[in-house]
Amino acid sequence: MMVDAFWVGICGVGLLIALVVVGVRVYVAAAVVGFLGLLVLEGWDVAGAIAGTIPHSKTVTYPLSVLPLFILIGFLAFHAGLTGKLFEAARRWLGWVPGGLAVSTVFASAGFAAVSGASTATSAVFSRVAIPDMLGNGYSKRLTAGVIAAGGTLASLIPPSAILVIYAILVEQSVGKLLLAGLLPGVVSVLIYTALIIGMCVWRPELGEASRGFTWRERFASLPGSFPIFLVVGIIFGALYTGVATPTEAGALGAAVVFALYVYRAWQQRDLKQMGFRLKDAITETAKLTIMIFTLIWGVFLFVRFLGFAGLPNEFANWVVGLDLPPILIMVCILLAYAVLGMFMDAIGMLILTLPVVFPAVIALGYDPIWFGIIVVKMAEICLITPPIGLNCFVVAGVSRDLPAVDGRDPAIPLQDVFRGIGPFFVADVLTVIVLLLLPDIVLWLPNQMAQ
Amino acid sequence: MKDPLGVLLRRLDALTTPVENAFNLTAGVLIFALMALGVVQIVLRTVFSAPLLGYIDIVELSMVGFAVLAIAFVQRVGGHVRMELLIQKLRGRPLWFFEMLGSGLAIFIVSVLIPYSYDHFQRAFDFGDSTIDLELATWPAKLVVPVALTLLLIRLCIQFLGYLRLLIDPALPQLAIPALKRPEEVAAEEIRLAGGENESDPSAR
Repeated sequence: MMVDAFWVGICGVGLLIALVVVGVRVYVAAAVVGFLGLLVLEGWDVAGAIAGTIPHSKTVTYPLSVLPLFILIGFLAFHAGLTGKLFEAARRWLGWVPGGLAVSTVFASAGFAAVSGASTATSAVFSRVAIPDMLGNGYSKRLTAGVIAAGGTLASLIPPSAILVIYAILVEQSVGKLLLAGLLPGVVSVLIYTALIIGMCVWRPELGEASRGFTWRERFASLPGSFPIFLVVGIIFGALYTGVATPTEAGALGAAVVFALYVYRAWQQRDLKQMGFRLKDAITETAKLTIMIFTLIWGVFLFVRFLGFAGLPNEFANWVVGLDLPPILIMVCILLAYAVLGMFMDAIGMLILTLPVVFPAVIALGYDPIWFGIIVVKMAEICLITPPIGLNCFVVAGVSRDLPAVDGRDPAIPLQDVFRGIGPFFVADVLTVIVLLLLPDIVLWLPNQMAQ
Repeated sequence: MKDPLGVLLRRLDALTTPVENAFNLTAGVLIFALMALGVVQIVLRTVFSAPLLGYIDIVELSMVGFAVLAIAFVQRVGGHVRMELLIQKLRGRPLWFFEMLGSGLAIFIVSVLIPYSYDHFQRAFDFGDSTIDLELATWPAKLVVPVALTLLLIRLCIQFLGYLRLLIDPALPQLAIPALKRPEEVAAEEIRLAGGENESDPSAR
């Protein structure tokens, strides 16, 4: 019987892969295979009862309620007038180093990441802010494009990050711990990017020069504009770290702060009608993204229940542990598999679909669940900057086409230049993953300090 | 050229679209309300030491409104995640065939889910299932699932017929199906949504 169930499971996985490859929506493919599998293994009554319960019971749990709030923060933040001020503050403080504007872009992106969990959208925003400035100061198009596309990926690691919440729920880990765990790796990414830019610009100064220095007075004058970011960061981190508020409550407060800024800015610009219009846009888009994720979650949970009955995750974990290979080698293979898969699939979809099988194996190998979450999200982010569908790169190229001329020159950055420009940052990201593999404490230190 | 199916589809599409839009807007408003409720909860608890009774109950009950309600809307705009690697390479009849296969499978599973999720509601209704703190009835929330899925089923049937129509005659204009987006177009959509600051903020200069 056990062998039979196992083979039904294998057939189910094969069918699921086939359906996903021919373009069936992932929630449909997972739910269909999950339901049919349960039908074969347990009959109509069990399959029906599970199928009828899961869309409700797996989605309406309190920990998941933080997701729409984090998404809302991101959509509101675009309209709250933060990016321009952040970039200005960053360039006054950091513009003096070689490649100063590129370094400033990295820091401003990281700052914005603290109010946004959306990688691609962050790249879109900074394309508008940073491309005119960087090209106007004689920066190479490739460096400009590379730094903006790579900077966007910081949004997924630095909280609030929707993808980390999803990981936490799927593998039943603390949402708060995962969000905290993303911070230091985000900082490490920033530092590695910065070292890379400075190195490149020292070696080849024509890529981008240091801009003029600013006085300390000018520097401090730039801070109040970016203060709200620190406030939101403080709220979310304070709440998570001390445990005085749940992630949902922290998300609500963060969203409310960004919303207040947004209203203030609209009021300042005497633009309340436009504000209402944009607000409707922001909340309907939030709803759309939210339901997309929730639907994926219940669809895949149906499949996961089937896998559970088939005993597949256990079998796979046993098989992986039984391999006569060092765990680190297996881990590298898993990460490479993600790198390949991520080239063809949306990051969230990829994680939800694969984790039910991969995660138990990783745990059986003795890796930490929180640490693996951060690594896997970083891998998914790398895929946003690699061909063929590295969305961040398309966004940078797309925005640059529509920008007004800079000093009489066309700011358009062709896609192939963006992909070339991203090259060094791709190497930097691989380096970051290696650092996190070798020094897991970078990930685990902060969540371990957290109040129990 | 006569296109009776097209006429029918256009009419069905026009009928369901406003309902889907309304559901999606409701979901958005609920998320906004969730934000407000969270702030109220924090203020009441930290400032007045009097937290809202049943806060978690209220959140969990309302979640179905943004977790499931707008599922048909997202199906209409083609927002549900999928792998488009192969689909993007196809043109004409093979493309419409695979699209039809996808909607056919979706029709199957949703048709199965509707009666069983209705049973789930029926049980809650019959046994008077309620939440822990406030003892609110859970059946209204559970009823939302079959309702939202029924709207999804209607939308899926419209799309299925839309693909069938193109499979029969690929020369017809596309109707009532989500546009297949290339990465550049997905990027353009992201750019539009992030459109808050067209120019860098002048007040920062």
